[in-house]
Amino acid sequence: MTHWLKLGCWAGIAGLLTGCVGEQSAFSGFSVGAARVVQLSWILTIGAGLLLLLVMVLLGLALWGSDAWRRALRSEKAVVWLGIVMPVTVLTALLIYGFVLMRLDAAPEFKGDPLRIEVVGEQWWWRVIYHHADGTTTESANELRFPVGQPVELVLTSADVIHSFWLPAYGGKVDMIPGRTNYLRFLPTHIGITRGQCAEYCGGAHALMAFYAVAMSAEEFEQWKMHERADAAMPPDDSGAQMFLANGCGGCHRVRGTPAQGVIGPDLTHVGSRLSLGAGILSTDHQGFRDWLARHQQIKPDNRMPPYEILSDAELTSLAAYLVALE
Amino acid sequence: MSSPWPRRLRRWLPWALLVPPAGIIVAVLVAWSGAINIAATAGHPAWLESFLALAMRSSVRAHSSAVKVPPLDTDLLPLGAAHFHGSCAICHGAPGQPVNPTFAHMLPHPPPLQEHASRWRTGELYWLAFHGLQYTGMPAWSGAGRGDEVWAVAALLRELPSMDVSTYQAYAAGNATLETPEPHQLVQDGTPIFPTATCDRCHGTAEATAVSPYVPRLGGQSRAYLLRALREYRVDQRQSGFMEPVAAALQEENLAGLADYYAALAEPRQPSTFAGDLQMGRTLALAGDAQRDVPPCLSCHGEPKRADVPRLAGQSGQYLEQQLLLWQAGGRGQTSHGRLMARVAQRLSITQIKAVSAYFASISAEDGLAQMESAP
Repeated sequence: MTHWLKLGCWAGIAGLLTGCVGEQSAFSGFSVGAARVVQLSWILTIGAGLLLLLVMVLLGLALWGSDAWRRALRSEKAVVWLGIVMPVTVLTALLIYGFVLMRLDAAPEFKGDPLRIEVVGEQWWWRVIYHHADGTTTESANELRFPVGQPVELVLTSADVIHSFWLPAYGGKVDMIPGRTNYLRFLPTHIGITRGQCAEYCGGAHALMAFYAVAMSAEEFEQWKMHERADAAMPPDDSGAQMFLANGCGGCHRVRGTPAQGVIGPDLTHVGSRLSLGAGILSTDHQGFRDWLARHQQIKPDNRMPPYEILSDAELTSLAAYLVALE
Repeated sequence: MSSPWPRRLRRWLPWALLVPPAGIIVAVLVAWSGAINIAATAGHPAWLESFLALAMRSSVRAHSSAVKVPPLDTDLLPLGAAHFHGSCAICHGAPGQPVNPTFAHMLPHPPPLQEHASRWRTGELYWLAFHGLQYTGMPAWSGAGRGDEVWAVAALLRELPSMDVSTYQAYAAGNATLETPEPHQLVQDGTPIFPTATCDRCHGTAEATAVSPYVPRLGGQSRAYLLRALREYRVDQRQSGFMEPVAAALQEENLAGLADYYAALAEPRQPSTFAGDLQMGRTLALAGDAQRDVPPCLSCHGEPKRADVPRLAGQSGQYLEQQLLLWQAGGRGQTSHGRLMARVAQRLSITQIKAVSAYFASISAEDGLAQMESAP
């Protein structure tokens, strides 16, 4: 019995620890603010651990120690030093440290021109809108891209119900509330691909509402932005493009540079070069697109896209080839 | 021990408890002995007849009490009559046509409805035609969940008692011609008063429009769509008490020819009588309603489109509205095409359904094509 209990405890701890590494970890600290939170967390955790150890030792001495120890511990001096002076000192130091660390006016993410990205939570995906210098905008979905070294300001809204934007490696968790605009600022310092997800139950497919964030070097980001702003690439074989239009996909989806100008679902202009499909669920390779088109209501039940069981095998192949080519 | 009742009760109780099992045993023995004559010729004794009639009338009254009768317009009559003549008249007779003797010898006898329909209220007639009656040979409506269709029959039955033969026959024949057959035709084809299974009874021809705005316009519709619809009716996927019996009677090799015929047919145009906000309808058709996640109708139904998707321009507004409402109620979820459209139809408001039905009814097929080219 105890053997199994012990095993269970270790398995539980191991399970908890796996949450602390990898692409969606609050311990990554990939922005200035996030790194500070991680630092503060460690100081608090280690400090609290040491204090707990001290209390346990004193408790042990009070119970089983020599008479000298027990006398010393119940003296008025011990109560004054350990019970009043020490907590006041520790808590005051922590408070000051916290103020210094979190001093907003000194925070680098609030200095300089931020890159402004609008993120709209929708059931059950993320609409990502980039505002460009010339006043134009381009749309992407379920993927954030930003350069390191420049502050990022996310403008967070919701199109339907309350969602919560959570990108643990770079920033905190901010609710997206219908009729209200919330902001999240951070200064990314680490290049890398991390994952975020909706952190507020928002309906049936809530658990399948994730996204990827790609922090790039400034040059890479400029290159990516140039590419992203360009219209969709026209494949030499346009049978897939024709099929896309004939099946009404353009009623909901936009592919810039084609007659497909729908605004209801995700913009697909460069969907082939995104990291995921269906809000962090499938890969954007041929098989991923096929799976999504053929079975998306099974993969992500009740998502707002109508089921396309009408597509034949050949039509699936052709459409998937077209979408993969939309790089 | 002073009261006499408990003592008497104690004496009779064992006997009283024996009566129900004894009754069951006697009933089983009688059934097993074969003494009951269940021949249709034997009939029912008068007391049993009255008892069964009482149970039937009360059951119909009770179960139809929640039925709300909508306003029934006269446009339903030709459709109701054409269906009645094809599916009901053989048992129930019709003006100018007595009950077929074969079915007149059923027990219970199917009532001649020209006389009997007036004994029921409209809601009861609707309920009877929709649900059928156990132990009588009266079938339920063959289109599952298609109560909307049954109102055409209820509308006819309400009028039937006062309908003269020529009015009824004109309704029931629709666009089908009523030529007196030559004797040799009668000998070969056994033509009844007029054919009961022709498409012309309801649908448009080269000379005439469909008999009712509740009947879809087929002329010029896409061939692949017509073929798909006929197949879906034939295999009991798409539900319709009107079309399923007709499609089931067809052979697979008839279908392509029929689809060709209607795809090539130039049906005369009938001005639309359907009211709705045309501007709102036009916006929905061309631009959709992103607020409600409704894509433009023409993104699928415009050009380019899949061959097996229907054209909407010039379609009857009443028919479009009825189908959209059916989609909202989940009545068209049996096919993959139906499940796709259901998602979109369920996002429309009633006002939008009326608007978009009126819009497509108001434009001709040719106008529709021109507009489709300018569609997003």
